[in-house]
Amino acid sequence: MAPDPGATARQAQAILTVLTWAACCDGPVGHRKAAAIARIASRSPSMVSSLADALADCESIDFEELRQALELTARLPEASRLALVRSAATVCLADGAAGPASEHALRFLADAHCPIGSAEVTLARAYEANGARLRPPGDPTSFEWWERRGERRLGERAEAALATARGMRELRDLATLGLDPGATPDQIRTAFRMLVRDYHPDRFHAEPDDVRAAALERFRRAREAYERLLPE
Amino acid sequence: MIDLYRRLGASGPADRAAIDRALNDPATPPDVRRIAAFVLGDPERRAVHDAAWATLSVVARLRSVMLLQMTPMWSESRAEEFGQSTAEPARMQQCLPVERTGRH
Repeated sequence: MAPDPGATARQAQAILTVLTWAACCDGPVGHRKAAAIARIASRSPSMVSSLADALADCESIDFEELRQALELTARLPEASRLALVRSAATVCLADGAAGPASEHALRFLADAHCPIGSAEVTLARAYEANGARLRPPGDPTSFEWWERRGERRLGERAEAALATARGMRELRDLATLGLDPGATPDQIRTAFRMLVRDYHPDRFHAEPDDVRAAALERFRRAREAYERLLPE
Repeated sequence: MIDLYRRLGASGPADRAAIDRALNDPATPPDVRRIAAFVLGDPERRAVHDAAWATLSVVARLRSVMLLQMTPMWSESRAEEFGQSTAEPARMQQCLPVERTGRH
């Protein structure tokens, strides 16, 4: 029997409602979450056509609308229900970590869509697939949770600063070798060989001291940049 | 997570009068007042809290409708207050677990 196009469209709409609700639990949907939803929606023409409206309206989904959507999604075949849980986790974790609101939403969606007894394992795997670990939900009514969050954020900022510093150093090293950002290892090797050929101290032994010193300094900087860019 | 607004005797984030009254009322348990002032007095903390509060309010209703209140993950969430009757706030003001708020 051919699938009922109306039913397929309603199911797609329900999935989109559930996903966008989960996406906006923590606050306004940013571009990463929106992109994650768009990737999931791109698998279904019915979802693609409703995507823009769904994203625009996600913060105004009311209880009854969500309940009706869940009535439909809870009756999908098991594989589709599990895929919905995985998709919801992908969307909620698109920013790197889910906030307490999303964590509660994901637990609920897993309980509502997974076979009895398998919700936690399914959700834990969905977290792992997105590079995260399933933990008890955050508690914003606990001083301890805020303290841990503050420490985590400090750590993230420090890592970001370190990454920026490393990125800046890489740009400087590439510039030392006369290369643009994104140069390949082969380009780096070739550029270094040319600089060695042009500035090797052996070539300057008959030159005046200042010229020899400048060439030596250029050679030293090129070698240090090369060793940082392509460590052995 | 406790239902902070319920413990303050407020219906939700928009019930500013009840929140302010409870925060200034000596009868409000000190633990409740401290955590409420800490969380609701800062816009960023309040936004995170209110998002979780709104989601849990919906999730608790949905779990009730869909008979999903006995699952391990819901128990682990420690958010049972959100599934309770709205007639409970006065009683619940008295039972904030001290170990979760006693450091400030």
